[in-house]
Amino acid sequence: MSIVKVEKLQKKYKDMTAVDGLSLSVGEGEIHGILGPNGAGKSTTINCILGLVGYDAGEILFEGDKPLRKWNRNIGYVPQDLAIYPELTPEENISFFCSLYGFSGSELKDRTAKALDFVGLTDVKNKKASEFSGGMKRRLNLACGIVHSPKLVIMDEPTVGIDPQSRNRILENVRALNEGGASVLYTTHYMPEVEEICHRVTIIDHGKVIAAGTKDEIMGLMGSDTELVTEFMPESGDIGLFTQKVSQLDGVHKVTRDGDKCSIRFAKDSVVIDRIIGITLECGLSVSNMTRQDPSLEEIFLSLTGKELRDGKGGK
Amino acid sequence: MFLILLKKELKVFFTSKSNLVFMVLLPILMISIFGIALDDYVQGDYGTFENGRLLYIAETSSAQRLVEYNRIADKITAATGVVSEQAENAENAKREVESSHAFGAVTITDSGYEYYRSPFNEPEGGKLVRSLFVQLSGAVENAAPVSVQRVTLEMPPFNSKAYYTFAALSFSLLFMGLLVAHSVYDEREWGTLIRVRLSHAGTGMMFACKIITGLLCGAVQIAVAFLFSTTVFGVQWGDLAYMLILLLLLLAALSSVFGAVIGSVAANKSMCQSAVLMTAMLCGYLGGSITPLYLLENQPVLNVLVNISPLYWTNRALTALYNGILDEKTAYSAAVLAGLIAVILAVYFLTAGRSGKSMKGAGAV
Repeated sequence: MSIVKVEKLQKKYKDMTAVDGLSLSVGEGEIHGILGPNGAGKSTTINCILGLVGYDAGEILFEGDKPLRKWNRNIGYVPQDLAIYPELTPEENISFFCSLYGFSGSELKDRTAKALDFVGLTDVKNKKASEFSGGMKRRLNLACGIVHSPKLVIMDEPTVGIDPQSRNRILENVRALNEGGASVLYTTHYMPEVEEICHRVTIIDHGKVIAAGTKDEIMGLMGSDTELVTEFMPESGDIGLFTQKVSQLDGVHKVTRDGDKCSIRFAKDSVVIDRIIGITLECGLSVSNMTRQDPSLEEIFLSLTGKELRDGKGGK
Repeated sequence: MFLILLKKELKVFFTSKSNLVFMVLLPILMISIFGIALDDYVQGDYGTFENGRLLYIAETSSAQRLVEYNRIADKITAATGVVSEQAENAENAKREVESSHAFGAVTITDSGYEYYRSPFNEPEGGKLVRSLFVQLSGAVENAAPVSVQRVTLEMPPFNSKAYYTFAALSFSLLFMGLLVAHSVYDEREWGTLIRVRLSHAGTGMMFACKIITGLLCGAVQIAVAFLFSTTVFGVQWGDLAYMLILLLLLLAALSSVFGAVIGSVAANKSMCQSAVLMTAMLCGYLGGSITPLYLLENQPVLNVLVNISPLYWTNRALTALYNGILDEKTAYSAAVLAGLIAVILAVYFLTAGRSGKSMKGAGAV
């Protein structure tokens, strides 16, 4: 059964269509990634699911047939921008948000303590949140969103702008939450995170679904291509002639050159590597490195949308 | 749920040192600065008899009494230049005296004279004319069966410290709206409002808690001003202190509601701050919290503009209450404050309702 099902969602802002007939379904016990570049419609979709903005057409139902107003207490929200009180301690923050769901007394204390432990903030539970580092604030943000044990945790780019340790901790937390029974809807534009934790992915751009499925299913969209990346010794021969000859081989679909490096995409079942090596020698080139690799999700995204996920591929 | 939210509000509010300083020191500073610096303005100590008028209302059929009054009035005119003029009726006369257009109003009755002076700002010239009148009417009394009744003026001493205890406190209460506006805006900026919205509590309850927190802080400001003014300046709040406090609390409620609404709708923090501060400054100036009311009421344009400031109505009522007068001024002031609260809330909820309708159209919360 789907924990949340979005059908033909449409949201317009004046003349701009932010979400255009988008459908997606998050299965129970699943980590579902929504992947898209900035402005693709990820946050608008999340805001529609959470009821923070209205929508013009479509339907959003939870756990089968329940509307949001009857189900919203089962949602835990971890927004990209921190949603904590900086002047309160982590303990006070978590306890407050937990109490809004009707918990009190010893159960409230237990839940608060567990949430602090879960995100590794027990040692600093009495410090003001304003004194925390960015990563610690993000972890507190996560704890506030999950302390009431929601069935669905919606996380909107929760690792933006934090150090690798905090990022890893948050990804571990997401997996642990999922193992504990929660379904997770996770938006990001960091491909490695999707590859690392998500069971299923929906790729969106311009408010539309470009591709959806498991990682393998999406890989399948690329057909049976594989890629050979060849690096040459500098000034060792004619790379221009090499790319021209290789691109004329049967089974080769695309050749791209980046300085002394060439990427050759070809059908897996074609026998071209021997011939590529032959052309290398003919052109007087010396090979410094040669690797064969299946395309990454990042490349698939590029292939499907024609653009990079982020401006620049630099790390976080 | 309400108590949980209120507890959190108070915790967040009182954790901030700047909030505490703002709440406690602002009324003390304002009362001290205005009370000491503007003493001469409140006393009206300039141009002693210039353009002075003494009004009278004849409520007697005795020609002899009128002749006696005219004799007294002539002597006053000879001594001070202050002229005596007949007023249309007692109400008009009272109004002219209160707005400093006349030094006093004498009602001539069969049994004697009733002398009315302004409870708000009797200028030096007015005091001298009153003294002269009492002396002269006393001389008449000795010579003939005439008595002088001095009306009501068993009033507490009225000076700048007394005036600004209430005028500056009411001004300070308006600034409390800024703290509420910041609190509401911060909740939006921090994103915590979204979590509250998704929980059982809902944003309406949080909105109410913010207003109540503002009201409680206003109550603290009133208590601070009470302690400070009575112990340091010796201002006696009098028998109508409970009415003074109720009116001030109503003003604190208006300030909190206004702050909460501005915090909810402002596009950014700078706009939020400017809207509250500019409104408070304008209301404070037009309401007599900086310049004494009687001076504003004597200026041709300002005497009309003052009506738009809720502080004008409040300060009039507060001054009257301080002088032991519970009259229609208090009722007007309460009506203005309560009315404004109702209007601001109605506009806010109607606007919020309209945007809510568009959301419901497609099934959102």
